[in-house]
Amino acid sequence: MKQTLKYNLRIAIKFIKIINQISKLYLPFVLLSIVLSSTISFVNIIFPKYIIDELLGDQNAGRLVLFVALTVGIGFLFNLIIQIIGYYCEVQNEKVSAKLDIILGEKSLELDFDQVEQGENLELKERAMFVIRNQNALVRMMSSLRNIVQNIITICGLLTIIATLNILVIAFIGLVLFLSSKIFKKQNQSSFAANQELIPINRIFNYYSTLTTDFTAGKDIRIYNMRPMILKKIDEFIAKNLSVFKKLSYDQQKYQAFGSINLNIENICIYIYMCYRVLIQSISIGDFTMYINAVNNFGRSISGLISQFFEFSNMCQYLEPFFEYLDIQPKSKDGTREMDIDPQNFEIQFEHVSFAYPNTEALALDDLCVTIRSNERISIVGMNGAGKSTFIKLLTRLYRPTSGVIRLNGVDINDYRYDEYIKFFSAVFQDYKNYAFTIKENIALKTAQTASDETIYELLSRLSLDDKINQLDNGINTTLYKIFEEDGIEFSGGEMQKIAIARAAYKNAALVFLDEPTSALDPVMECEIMQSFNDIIHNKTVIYISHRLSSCRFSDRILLFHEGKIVEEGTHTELMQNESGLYYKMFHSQSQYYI
Amino acid sequence: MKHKNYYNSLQNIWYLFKRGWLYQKSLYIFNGILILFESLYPFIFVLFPKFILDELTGERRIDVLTIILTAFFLFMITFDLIMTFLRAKIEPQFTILRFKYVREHSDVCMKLNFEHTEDPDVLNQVHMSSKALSGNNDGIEGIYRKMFSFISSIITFAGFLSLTLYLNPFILAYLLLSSLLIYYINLKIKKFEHDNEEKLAKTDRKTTYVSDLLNDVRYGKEIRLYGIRRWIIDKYSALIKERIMNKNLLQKKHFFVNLLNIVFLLFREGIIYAYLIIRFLSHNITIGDFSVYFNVANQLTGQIQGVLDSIAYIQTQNIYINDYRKFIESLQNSDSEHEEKIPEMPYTIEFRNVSFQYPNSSQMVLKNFSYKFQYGKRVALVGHNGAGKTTIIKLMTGLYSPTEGEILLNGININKLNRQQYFNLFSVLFQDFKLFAFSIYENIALQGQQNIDLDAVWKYINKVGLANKINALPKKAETSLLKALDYDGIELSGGESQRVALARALYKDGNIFIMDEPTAAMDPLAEDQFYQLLNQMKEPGNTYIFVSHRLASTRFCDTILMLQDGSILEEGSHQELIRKKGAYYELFELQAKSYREEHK
Repeated sequence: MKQTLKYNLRIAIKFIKIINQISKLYLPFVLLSIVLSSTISFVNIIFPKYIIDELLGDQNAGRLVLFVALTVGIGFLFNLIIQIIGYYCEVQNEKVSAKLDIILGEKSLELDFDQVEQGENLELKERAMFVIRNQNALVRMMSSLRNIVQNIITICGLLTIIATLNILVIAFIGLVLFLSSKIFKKQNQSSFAANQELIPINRIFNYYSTLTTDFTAGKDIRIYNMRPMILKKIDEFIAKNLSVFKKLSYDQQKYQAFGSINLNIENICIYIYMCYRVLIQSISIGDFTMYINAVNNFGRSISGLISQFFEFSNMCQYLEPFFEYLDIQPKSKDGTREMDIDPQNFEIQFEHVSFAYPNTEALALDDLCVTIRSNERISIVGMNGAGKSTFIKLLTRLYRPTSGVIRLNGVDINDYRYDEYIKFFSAVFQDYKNYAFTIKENIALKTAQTASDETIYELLSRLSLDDKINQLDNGINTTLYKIFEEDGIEFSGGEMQKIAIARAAYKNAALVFLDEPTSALDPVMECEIMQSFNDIIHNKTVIYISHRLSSCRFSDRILLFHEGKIVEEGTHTELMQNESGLYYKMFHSQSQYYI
Repeated sequence: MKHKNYYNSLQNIWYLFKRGWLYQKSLYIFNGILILFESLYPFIFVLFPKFILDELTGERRIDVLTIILTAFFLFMITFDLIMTFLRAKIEPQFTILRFKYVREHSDVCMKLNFEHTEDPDVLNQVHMSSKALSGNNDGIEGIYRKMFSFISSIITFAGFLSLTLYLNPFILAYLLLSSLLIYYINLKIKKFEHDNEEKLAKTDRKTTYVSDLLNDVRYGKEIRLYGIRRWIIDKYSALIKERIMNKNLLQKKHFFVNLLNIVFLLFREGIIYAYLIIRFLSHNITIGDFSVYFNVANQLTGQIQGVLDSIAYIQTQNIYINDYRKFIESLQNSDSEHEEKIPEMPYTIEFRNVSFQYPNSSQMVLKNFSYKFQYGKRVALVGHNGAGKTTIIKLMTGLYSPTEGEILLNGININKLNRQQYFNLFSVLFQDFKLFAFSIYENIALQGQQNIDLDAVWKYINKVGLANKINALPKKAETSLLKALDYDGIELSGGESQRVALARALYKDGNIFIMDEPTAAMDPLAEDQFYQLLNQMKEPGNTYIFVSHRLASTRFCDTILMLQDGSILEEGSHQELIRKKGAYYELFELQAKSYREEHK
């Protein structure tokens, strides 16, 4: 991680570009504000000199009034403008922060699925998100950048003032500056290392605090008396981190100390020199005051500059993961072919497809060859981990085969445009998710606004959910889950599954996957749903994964997966004839209880 | 909102003060010394320049000047170094202190009565009280930091005040009044901000929820498959717009106050300049004094602002402290009712006329349900979705309390028993169990590393058929589950996860064993293995309760309870119910039909 100024500036510039997208006035306003602020500082340093000299000299009332009026007046006017600009910027900052969050989310969905699941990418994304949510990093970064520029301008102006005293003084100050920057550099490195150490600490801490406030774990925590264990983990964590924090703090302050020694020495030397000049009568008391003010201000500006550099550098470090994450290229380019497939007439072919999950050696699919034709009803069975879900994930392009090709009507599926390809499929996954939106939205999703209520109710009636939903005050506009609305509805597991099924059915895709779609349903429901499936998705192609082998009987074809291969294939009757086969064994193990 | 004036600021400060002392004594000691130095530090830069100026416009004695300059330097450096050293010591203490409060908060969350955890009101409270702990510069940590810096600024302020009194009481009055006005307005704004936040709490949570949808990998599959990425992003944008609009109002108010401040500044500087010039011209003060008073008067406003800001800050954070305290203290009441000792084994649990409806729901899920779960028996609960099976489990385990009727353990109402001790009697495999980002060992034993009986854990890993999978992992049972804490952690499949949860229940070895849909995600062979396991589970003193749709499992049970609409429809052994040819028989036939035809 290079932490040079140039690198940080590049990060800052990237952000400024984003800010520019939202408001073209932002940057110019900020620059104006900087100029005005600096001017006020100078006015407050220079003008008192004239007032004092006048007081010790002619004591001309008119001139005194003029000087005071100018000092106070300029301050007032410029401050006013600065405030207005500040308000404007604050408003824009909110918009920018929000935009960053969106950019991040969009990126996550743009990447290939397996990239998203990768450990290091997860870490990167989390660091990117943490910053934006918790630290308001962008605002702080901009603010520190602004302060840096301002301090630099102030310093230059002050140097000019001090130069009127004696060029050697500038040289002396230059030396001080040089020392300061060395100290600062060391401090910077130390701070960077510190932040790296803190990141995993924060992550762990967040996990523990969310664990207890996330009440989905509530039952387990209580029944299994996990409280002592979790408290113990938190205590260990705190103890471990106290020493880390102590060390970090000590390191930081060490450099702080060197810095202040440096500046204090400089301060006193200037004072001594000033006194000397006054004593030999080459400067007035007014000048004395002015130069002392200039030097004090100078000292403050240096400290300010250093701490703002710090802040800037820190914020850039925080923001860096944001851009790193954005820079991740999707591993695969999207295909470009349009899809023009007749849902009643197509063919999918797996040609010697093998696949291993990232960072795994074991093949989840091993040289798989199979053809799926339109209007088939296919059952996929097999033991856990045999490759069934992987099959679906490859078919829906969540992952790419490690070797081999999957073709749809002869064309490699990855050649098709993704958004078109995906319209072809619909699925109810084993770990389906429903959303805390309205029932209508859960079913019709993005078309919810224009969807017809009748169609939805009709679908729900085939799943026997219409009565229950009709009884709700808001009908299909009731929100699912209670996390946001008190009158949200908590359905039972089976009812939730039906919502997911309704969603899949509503999409009206050509090929439907059902991955354990009725596992949480009772037998009567299961039967009803299988019936209504036959209504809802007649003349569609269905791939059905289930452990309930009873459902296989309705399939045209059964594929038995085992260790990544298809070991048996055929209709139920055909497979049952092979009494030494795996299918027979599995079927028997279930049916034995019903005989 | 109701607890707005629960405790006032002073009470809360005292509360924090006391506990801070308990938690982190060193913090107080170091801060005490720091306060001394911090409060005196500004005076160095007020007094010494005056001495120098007076000497330069007066006697111009070199030896005197040398002494003044040397003293100046020594004071500056000594103070600086000491303050830096102390700050180094203090900084980490603040964060650790906050961590300790988070620990307390987590503890309370874990002790909450379960029924509260599904109540949006309580969820809001949890959200609000968490805010008090969320950052370095706000809430509780913020107040601790402010508390100490406040004391030093008061002392400095007092010093500056007395210096200004020398000058002119009217100037002082102007400074005080203008500052008080600004303070008052800021206070009003902060109150507005907090009230707004409660309203915003819901929008905030929604925004976080939607943002999680975008970023959480687990939703990724569906979002891609249904192509709803844009849709969700649009929802997010809408929520953000709402939040921005709300914030905008706040920002306008701040802007107004800042403008007011600038106007006051204008008058203040003018007045001070004019006054000091007049005093100088009438030979009342020296140039040295002029310089000093000018600085002091200008700094005084800053001082006043600082003090008032601190007070305002404490007032507003006070509201968060109240949120926190209310939440923490809400627990104290519920504990004390549990008096009786847990009876001895064996256990019979009786439901007597139990009716139940969930909070915020008008539907009765259980209606007048009565049954005695005898020890040593295996009972199956079957029935349609929504018939009440899982609800019975939740009531039996004490997670919820009946709306009507009572539940008795060996004749004692379970409400009278210590809740945790009661929980300890149960081994439960929930339908929606949760795995944690700890090691596999810990997920099974749910104990700290030192208390885990490794042999027992492996015994059960073998029993549930996970031995092969786990042995194949590089770290074996030390491997972390999930990826939240350890990016090398693994995600298990549905069936594998269920087996871990089963091992967990077995390890605990409770007297009452409950399984809610234990084989839903398992393949047939694993399921069969499981039933074999069930068959072996026959400890004479234990009770076994199964909830399942898979009527195959009911064959292992002594009694089957068939539920419908919250009451018992049929009851008996498998054989008895088949002979009866009632609802159970129909259900059974429905499942069996598809298997049986093959064996015709």
